[in-house]
Amino acid sequence: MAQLFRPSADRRIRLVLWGLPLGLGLAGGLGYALSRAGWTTGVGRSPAQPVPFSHDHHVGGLGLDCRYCHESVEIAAFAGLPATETCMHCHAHLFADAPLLAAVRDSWSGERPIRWRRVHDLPDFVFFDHSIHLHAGVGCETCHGRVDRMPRIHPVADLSMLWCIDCHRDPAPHLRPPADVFVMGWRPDPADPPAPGHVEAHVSCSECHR
Amino acid sequence: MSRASAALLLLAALGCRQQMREQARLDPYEEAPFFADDMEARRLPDGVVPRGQARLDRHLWQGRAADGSLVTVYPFAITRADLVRGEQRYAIHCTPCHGRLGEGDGLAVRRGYPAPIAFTAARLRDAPVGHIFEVISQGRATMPDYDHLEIHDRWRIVAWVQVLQLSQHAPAAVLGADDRTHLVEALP
Ligand code: HEC
Ligand code: HEC
Ligand code: HEC
Ligand code: HEC
Ligand code: HEC
Ligand code: HEC
Repeated sequence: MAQLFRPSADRRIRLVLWGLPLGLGLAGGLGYALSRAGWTTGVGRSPAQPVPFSHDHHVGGLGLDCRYCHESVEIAAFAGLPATETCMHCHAHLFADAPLLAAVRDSWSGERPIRWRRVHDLPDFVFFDHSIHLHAGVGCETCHGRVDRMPRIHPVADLSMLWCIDCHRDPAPHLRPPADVFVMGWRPDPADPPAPGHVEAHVSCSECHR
Repeated sequence: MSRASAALLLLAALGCRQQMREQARLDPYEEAPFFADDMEARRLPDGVVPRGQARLDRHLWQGRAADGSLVTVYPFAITRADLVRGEQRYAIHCTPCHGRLGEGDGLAVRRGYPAPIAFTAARLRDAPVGHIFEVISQGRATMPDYDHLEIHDRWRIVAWVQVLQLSQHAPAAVLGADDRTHLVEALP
């Protein structure tokens, strides 16, 4: 009977046996790295806005409270974006003619809202609620980072399901006293650390996908 | 054959539409081309009053009595909790211009906003509470109006303004014995 396989077949099979897992592993690793990279998740990216509004100047510099502009953050799912009128509180008399603020004045006189581009945007099949998190003691900083140092606001978390769940499994270490949720740069007082509260884990699918 | 179906599958995957991500509903603040003004949030048509929300109580809503004069008392009893809330709301909405103590030296003023007068000015100390309420609700000269604040919160802020006035302008006679001793000790 003739030989079915030539000697070189050995080499080929070995190549395939080694190559397949290696190649798959590489492709998988590359895919994973890509899915985590800021380029796909949007971390660190700020969209161009109609007005170059700076949290660095208004929050860090002027010390404005988040709630001056994001009025519904304590009571609703949606944090709220400021109406043009809110900007005009100050800019009707402060830098009233600055070219940088032209879009604000146009919006004010034309009664059209300023079209802020969304920086964070969860898919529509995810339910998120700000007020629940604030009342439980999760600070703005925990999810949005040092907003008071951001000239242009950008996401610091990828808003992936993993990110939510990582905290939801055991939220306690991420919590602060609810009175301090708006404070930037909050650190627990080493002499008098807040009592570790107990918070239920929230990991059932229907809590976020309802 | 199998190559063709693979190619088809690939094409189908490319044509994947993210319909679950962007569902056919409006999120808050989303653009709504359906409406002439493009806004998802709808405003009440002019002159419409939602059922049960008529602002009939002049004292509460306008700070004025039936005869049209500014009221001198609050429309509801102010408790300690109301003061705490008033302090917090004052800090959020008023400190940028009026400053923590109401001296009129907030950070926006230091950056060039027209300076308000101090709350401790005699005219304001003598003003009826209805006046302070009206200034918050309607604004005055270079002071913007804050009529978007919840109505009870506006009265709680008025109460906190009065706390600031009293705490910086109390006659020694109204102090308790302890406080008076402290005061005497602190005097040079
Ligand atoms: C003077 C008004 C003002 C204040 C005060 C303010 N913000 Fe904002 N914020 C804005 C405006 C306007 C935008 C939209 C423009 C932009 O994204 O830069 C915005 C956007 C944001 C966004 C991104 C929203 C999105 O599209 O996903 C976050 C997060 C945010 N603010 C957090 C904060 C936090 C936290 C504070 C308090 C520490 C704060 N802001 C205080 C005006 C304000
Ligand atoms: C409490 C008063 C106040 C409010 C409310 C306010 N601003 Fe400002 N804004 C300022 C001051 C003061 C400056 C100057 C900041 C500085 O130089 O540090 C400023 C500066 C700016 C500038 C110039 C660039 C910069 O950041 O210095 C822009 C643009 C601007 N504001 C946009 C806005 C918009 C848009 C809103 C509404 C969402 C708004 N502001 C609300 C007080 C205010
Ligand atoms: C638990 C994490 C978390 C905390 C805490 C949090 N945010 Fe957010 N924030 C988010 C997520 C997630 C989104 C995107 C929501 C969406 O796309 O529906 C968001 C969106 C926003 C937006 C855009 C408008 C909106 O509601 O979608 C603003 C403004 C904002 N946050 C401000 C704040 C402020 C101010 C605080 C603190 C008072 C705060 N956030 C605390 C996670 C958080
Ligand atoms: C840093 C911690 C943290 C992060 C990040 C976080 N959460 Fe939460 N979440 C909490 C805490 C704490 C609670 C409140 C638990 C309680 O009060 O029992 C909560 C509650 C909730 C609830 C209400 C559950 C219920 O039915 O009572 C929802 C919905 C929710 N989170 C969605 C999300 C989503 C979606 C994300 C990601 C985009 C997210 N959360 C990210 C800490 C977090
Ligand atoms: C704490 C909130 C939370 C819980 C609990 C949760 N999810 Fe999610 N889920 C999310 C978020 C946020 C996303 C969107 C992530 C993104 O933008 O890619 C998501 C996305 C998904 C997706 C779509 C993935 C994609 O790439 O489109 C599926 C499927 C899903 N979740 C299934 C589940 C199942 C099954 C469970 C229960 C075991 C669950 N989720 C529990 C927050 C949650
Ligand atoms: C953007 C800056 C600004 C903010 C914020 C602001 N005010 Fe004023 N306020 C002013 C200015 C300027 C005046 C002086 C107006 C004038 O010339 O009569 C004033 C005047 C007043 C007066 C005195 C009115 C009189 O009879 O002379 C009161 C009372 C007052 N403000 C209360 C408040 C309260 C309460 C808040 C918070 C809800 C507030 N203001 C927020 C700028 C501001």
